[in-house]
Amino acid sequence: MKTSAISMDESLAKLKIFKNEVMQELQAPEDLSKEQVLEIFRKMALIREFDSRVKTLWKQNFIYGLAHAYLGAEAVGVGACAALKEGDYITSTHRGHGHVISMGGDVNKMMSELMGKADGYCKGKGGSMHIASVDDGMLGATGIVGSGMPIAVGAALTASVKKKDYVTICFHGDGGTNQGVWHESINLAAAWQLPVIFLCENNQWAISMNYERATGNPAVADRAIGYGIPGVTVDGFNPFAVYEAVRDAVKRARAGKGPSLIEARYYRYIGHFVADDERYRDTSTNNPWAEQMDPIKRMREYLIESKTATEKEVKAIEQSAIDLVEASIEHAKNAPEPSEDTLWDGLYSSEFMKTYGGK
Amino acid sequence: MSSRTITIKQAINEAHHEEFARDDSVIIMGCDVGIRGNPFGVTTGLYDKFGAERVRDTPISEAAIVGACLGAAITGLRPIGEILFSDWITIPMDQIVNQIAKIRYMFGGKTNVPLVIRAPVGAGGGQAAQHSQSFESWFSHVPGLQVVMPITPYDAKGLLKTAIRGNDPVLFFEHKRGYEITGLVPEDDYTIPFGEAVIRREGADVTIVAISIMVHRVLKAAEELSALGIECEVIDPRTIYPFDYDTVLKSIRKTHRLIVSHEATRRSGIGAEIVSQVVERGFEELDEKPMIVAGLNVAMPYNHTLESMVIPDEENIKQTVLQMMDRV
Amino acid sequence: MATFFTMPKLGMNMVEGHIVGWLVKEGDQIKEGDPILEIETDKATNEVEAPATGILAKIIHHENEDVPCNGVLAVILNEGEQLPSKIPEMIGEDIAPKADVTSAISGADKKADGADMAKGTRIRISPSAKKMARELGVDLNTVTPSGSQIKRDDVQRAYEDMQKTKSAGVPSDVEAKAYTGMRKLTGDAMVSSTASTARVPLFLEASAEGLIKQRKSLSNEDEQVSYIVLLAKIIAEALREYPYMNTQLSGDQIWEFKAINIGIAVDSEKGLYVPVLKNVDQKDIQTLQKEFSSAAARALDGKATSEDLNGGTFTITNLGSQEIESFVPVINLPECAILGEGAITEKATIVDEKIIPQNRIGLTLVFDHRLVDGAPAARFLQKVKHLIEELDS
Repeated sequence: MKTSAISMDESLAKLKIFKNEVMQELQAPEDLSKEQVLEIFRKMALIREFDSRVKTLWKQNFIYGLAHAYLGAEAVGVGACAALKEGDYITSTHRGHGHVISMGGDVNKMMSELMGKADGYCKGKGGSMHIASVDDGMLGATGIVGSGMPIAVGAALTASVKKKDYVTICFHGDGGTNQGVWHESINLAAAWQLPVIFLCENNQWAISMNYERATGNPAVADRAIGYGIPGVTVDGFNPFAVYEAVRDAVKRARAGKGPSLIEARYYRYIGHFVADDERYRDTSTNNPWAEQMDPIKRMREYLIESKTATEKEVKAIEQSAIDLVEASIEHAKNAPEPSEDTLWDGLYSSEFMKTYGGK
Repeated sequence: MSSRTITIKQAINEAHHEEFARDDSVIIMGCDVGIRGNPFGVTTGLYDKFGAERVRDTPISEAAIVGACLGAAITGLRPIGEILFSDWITIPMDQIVNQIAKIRYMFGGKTNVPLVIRAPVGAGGGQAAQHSQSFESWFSHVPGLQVVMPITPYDAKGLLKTAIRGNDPVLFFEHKRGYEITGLVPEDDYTIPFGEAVIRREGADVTIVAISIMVHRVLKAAEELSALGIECEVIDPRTIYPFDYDTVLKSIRKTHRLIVSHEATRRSGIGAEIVSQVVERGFEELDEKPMIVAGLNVAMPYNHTLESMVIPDEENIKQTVLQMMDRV
Repeated sequence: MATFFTMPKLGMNMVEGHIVGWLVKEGDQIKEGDPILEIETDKATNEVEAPATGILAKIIHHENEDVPCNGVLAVILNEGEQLPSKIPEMIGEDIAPKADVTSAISGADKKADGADMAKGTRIRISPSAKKMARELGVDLNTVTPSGSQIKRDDVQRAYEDMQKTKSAGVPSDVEAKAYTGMRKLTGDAMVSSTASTARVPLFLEASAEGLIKQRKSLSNEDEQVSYIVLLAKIIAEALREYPYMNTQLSGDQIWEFKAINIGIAVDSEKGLYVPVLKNVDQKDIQTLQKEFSSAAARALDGKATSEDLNGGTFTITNLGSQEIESFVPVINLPECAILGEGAITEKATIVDEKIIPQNRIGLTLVFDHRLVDGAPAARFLQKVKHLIEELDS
């Protein structure tokens, strides 16, 4: 009698072969209005401008410590969050600026926070790496790889227990996929069928570690099988592709069908953090993604070609982004430093501080 | 208000039931907390009464469990996460130390973190190296956390309620070999504020600050010492952070002698912090050098004789007191 | 070159001096030998002279300060000189005692921190005991530890003892006053001497006729010569012949002094002083008398200097004016012997087989048998008698 188990060889034959190219043509989906499409482009341009200026400001020491740019990933964050509604949550990585803007955040508050000022999102206590616009549903950037995973699961748990229909997107990178907690979180969410979308921003690079070297099967989406949840791979330079995948996953989640895994595959063509000299790789064009890099350029060209907007309108949108960021830098530079007696604020709740002092 | 005698286990169980009934955002998750009612029986009855949504059996994923508690806490629930043996708290350390303790602070005070992690501590019975530890000193060391260690039914119930109702994260370290300790507990609802020590026994000769199960061992030693004419003042701080130094200092002003006792390892244990604080704040009251009676600096052995050498007991306390009083 | 004016060591046991006051101001022109500073030691006030001529450029220690011997008190400069960039704290050794815990010299509150002042083995004191001692005003130097360190109980006991001695239930018909100051110092010295010497008294009587004649002839209206000065001169002569009576026990050595310095006990309101006449054998009576008079006057005023009171090798004491015929005085440690002079009384004496009235004087020599045996001591006293009686020839 033949057992139902397959042989080792048969199981290997089932493996997908890692493909670099996931390129999808830009095509605005039907359920997005023109305004929504332009808003996507505007947010992408805003992220692009913001994080480009951050790099310079960091070198001038207006921004200090650790800062990680979302350059090149604009399509992922903006495309994904376009599928969310008010009340939904996201958890973030260390590249949080793009997520704040994707969730409709205020660049003045963000720039203030990056400069450590009192009116920043975190009152100067968090900086770039812990940027959080909690009121917008963005549950904070984090310096610990993968730490947002179980937090997203917890947020989804609240929705389940309280019978609310909000969803949570868990943004994480390829680097986080090999943390133990990545597995634990997806597993738990799948076991409990929680309304969370695990969105892997796979830019193929974890600082100097190319993803192919870091894992046996670099196709992140393939892992979904292990948890019994759907897993898809989309073009990370294409906001519409990301939007559609997330939209579908959100629908499933809201309908109580549990979590999904989406791999938005693209390429990190900048350094890991703002001063990374990238001596660990060849950044020349010996790179299969070279053609399609720069999602802003792709969108710009698409908008004009598809006659969604004129060249003038497109330029105006990009200019508005430049202006907004310029204003935020001016604002942040003039914003006040936090006073010394705010050092202890926020360590515990104010009731606690009042009762116990907290020092 | 009438009181009845129950065990610590029953007291903790009651606290769960009452808080679950009082506030439907209270949930619990951990291995075997639901259907099994926890291997020690601490969460008995919760699953049947409050259902699978709120009483969640989990896979063995401490990092996910604790992290999910955080996610739930900042989005409106009041979760209790249970880690059956405090030794395994090493697995979700990042969630506790880097996320839970700091999220309110890092995000500029924007989030409440009303969560409780219960992780029973305690040695004895041949549980050996990986199931006998107590890490209150680790977490006392992390700003943003609170650490609670009750050892009477009255304290366990009242402190757990305070922990659940508070908006800050709490590590609740009950003693897994103290579940059968009995005591009087009021029938009506009550809470106990943190940072308030209790003087379990009054005396004028030496102050002994005892942590968790050591309270009971120290009280036994104190009985024997009383027969020798030495009266010990035994203080149970009940909470490690916030810690009630005022009560200890007041006692020192009377006795001028200090001993601290905990089951956890001597080296860099919480006793070191307590002694240094008392020396700093009450140096001029000390007539003797302070002593710490604690677990030996060794991994807990399995063999019961070796094990009993490591765990501090009544005899260790007694000898230390006698030495301090020049009565050896 | 700058001259550093330091605290002088004015007595064998002096370790520090208390500045009573400067007699000059900073910036004043001073001459070598001028008195510029007044200091106080155990029992005496002293003037200290300038060691050099120049300008008192900088005063470092001021009124009411206690400064150890050899401590730099001020800087004297020549005209146009600058103050040195570094002024040393001390010139020479710090001569503080090396004993364990010695008696406090000045002020109980300053020395309450006992461990700090001892330079040898440290007595450990628990923090609580220190505090208690400070609050109760217990001198930690008077506390004996019952174990390896001083604890609260020890301080408590010391305090209770202190209370007992302070006011051991003064009865209602008793007036009490503190046993302190000169009285206590003298008392301590007497007890110390009595307890540590092998004291033996020798008594004899001598004819005082010669003394009386001598005194009359040497005195004039200005200066009355006193008997005791005469006696001092005589004793000096005797000591030259019997130098073993001019000795002291110093540890495990016997020191025989070349100089003959005789102390004469003076009774004053303030207490018992013993001004010392230096080199008595080399001076004439008039000089000696002058010296004695002024020293005695200073003593009576409570202004005796260390120069007055130190350096004695032999002591005489006299209770003749109170009609005491003989008495057994206490040896003035560390000296070898003391002579007690009694009253000159007219007595019936047998001379040449006839009973005649004669002025006689009783002399008691108390000597330390550790240093001298009976017969040698007796020979000395006998010599004194002969010298006295030779005056009448």
